[in-house]
Amino acid sequence: MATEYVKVINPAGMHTRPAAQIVKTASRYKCKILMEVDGYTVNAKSIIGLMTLPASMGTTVKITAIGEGEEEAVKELKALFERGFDEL
Amino acid sequence: MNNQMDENPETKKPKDIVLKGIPVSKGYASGKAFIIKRNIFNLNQNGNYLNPSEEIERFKQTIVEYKNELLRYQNSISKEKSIATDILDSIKLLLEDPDIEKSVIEYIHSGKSAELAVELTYQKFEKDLLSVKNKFIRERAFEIEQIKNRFLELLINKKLSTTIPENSIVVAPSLSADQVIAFKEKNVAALITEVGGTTTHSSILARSFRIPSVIGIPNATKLISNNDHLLVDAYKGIIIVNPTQETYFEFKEKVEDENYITKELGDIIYRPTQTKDGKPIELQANINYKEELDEREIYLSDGIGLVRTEHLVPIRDFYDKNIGFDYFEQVQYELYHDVAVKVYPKPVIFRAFDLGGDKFPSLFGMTEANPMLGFRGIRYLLANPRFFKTQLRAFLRASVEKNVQIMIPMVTTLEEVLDSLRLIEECKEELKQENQEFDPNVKFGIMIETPAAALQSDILANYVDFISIGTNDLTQYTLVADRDNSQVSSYFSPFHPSVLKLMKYTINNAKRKGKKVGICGELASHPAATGLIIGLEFDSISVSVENLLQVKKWISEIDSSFAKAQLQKALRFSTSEQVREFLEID
Repeated sequence: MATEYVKVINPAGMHTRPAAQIVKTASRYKCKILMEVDGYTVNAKSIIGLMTLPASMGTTVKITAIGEGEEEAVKELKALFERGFDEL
Repeated sequence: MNNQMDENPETKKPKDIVLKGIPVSKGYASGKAFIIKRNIFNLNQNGNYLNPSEEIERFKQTIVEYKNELLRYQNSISKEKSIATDILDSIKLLLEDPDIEKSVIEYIHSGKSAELAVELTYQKFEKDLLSVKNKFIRERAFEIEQIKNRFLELLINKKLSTTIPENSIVVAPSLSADQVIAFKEKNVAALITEVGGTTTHSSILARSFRIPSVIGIPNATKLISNNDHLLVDAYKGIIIVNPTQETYFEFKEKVEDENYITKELGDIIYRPTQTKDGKPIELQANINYKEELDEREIYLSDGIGLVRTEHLVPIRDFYDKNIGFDYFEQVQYELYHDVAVKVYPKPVIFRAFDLGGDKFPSLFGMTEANPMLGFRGIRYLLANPRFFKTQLRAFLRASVEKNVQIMIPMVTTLEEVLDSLRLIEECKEELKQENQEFDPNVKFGIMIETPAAALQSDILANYVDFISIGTNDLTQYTLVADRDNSQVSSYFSPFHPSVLKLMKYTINNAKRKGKKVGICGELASHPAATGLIIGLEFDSISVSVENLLQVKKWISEIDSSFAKAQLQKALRFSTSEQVREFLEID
């Protein structure tokens, strides 16, 4: 299991477009990937799940991956957050 | 949301049926109504449930079909690129969503038909979306519903309403992004929906396709019938159903006017405001009265740079009718909130009452020998804190959408800024105690319209989020000239080097402190001043509604490096005459 904490830095928060990017990235991995905010957890490969995640700017998101490629998955997703989903 | 059945103010004549909603994509349209009824799937009926594997197969087959449809749209709009592409992409991800699939399959295994399983699954997720605090996400629920509807249509093999005649006005419960694309292909004239949001994908697409669009008319699909003649004013959000001939001709005139302005000014009015070489600048509107918010210029602006609240609020009522502080606050709150909601998501700067001077001198029952040098603007407000606080509280309460900014007028000293900030803090504390919602980070700014404030702008800028230069008063106070006094009006010139230097100095200070700086005054809409204003590098310009599009055009025609050179030159002249000559002002 691999875990990382990241901050949402883009002003609009995690709206549809970033959510779509997360899904696309996460779906490339076989492992199970979860994102958690304040005890609320969703499947990172589900766009509808991510859309309900209360992740506005400044929120800390916990990324957990379990299974094949877990380390790389978490690393790549973390980088996506840190780049502000290329929206900055 | 309003659903008033207003009547034509001129009685006796035949009446128009007027429906009011929220405009989300500007424009006018006239055409025949085409109603799209809500798909009602009887949840008690379980369709032709065969067996789980059969139902799952039908579900998966429909995903493929829907995705093919999206692909076809994608190809048809390839020129339109990014926004539409992104949106179609997100619908595709929704169709492929593993959580949705898992839930649908679970329902099917529990004995539900594919239709029912999809319906129940989407309902569950819609409910989740509606419970999210973020309003943008909540608006997505309306779209999810439409995607579900289309899915169900495909599932039960109903073809998309292919028979929409060209130039129809679509009236629907709500619309999904892919439907908007389908309607664009059919050249529909306008879109009207019962629910929706300004930031839903369907609204974003309607804007990018320039399809006039109004949302938020409850029961529109019942109030309007197929083939009703509709006039859509998607600037004001008004639909007129089966208009009288007189109304129709009036409307036609408006449409022709719009076509004329569009042709005259070109497509430029729909694009973001920027100079010829692509330097962006925010172009905002000055507002005095609520009615001005309905002008189409507002929708083509970057928000409101100045609300003159002393005009917006029926301030005389407070003094004449003795309505009391609490009620006065409520009246203000409703007005401000209305404005904020109408302008949302663009920002709106409310300027606190600028009373005294030449404005409402009679209110105070006192006479001053020199009112313009007397008890006016922030001075009056701070001397009447109970009164001032009704306004600050109303501003804060109206700030829940997070697009409200507060500005104080006629600043001359640092104490005024600090005292105002303290009062705002006090109001925030009170509101917290009362459990009233407000934006804790509401932005605060000052008007720089006296030489004292301009010369101290380096210090004042430390305490504010933004600065707005009011050129009328700054000119008057710098040159000690009342422009309404014909004997000295020749002294009144915003092009005087002293005024230009004070502006430049203020802007430099604001920029150094990283604060936004705007201009709101008549200079901003002077035809010869565009170069100076661009050269001064204001972040925003706020002009009166009637000048807004013209100024937008001027800005688009000027090159920013040319403007900078022009300003440098203008700053070296010694008299306002020389500046005027240089700028070729007669």
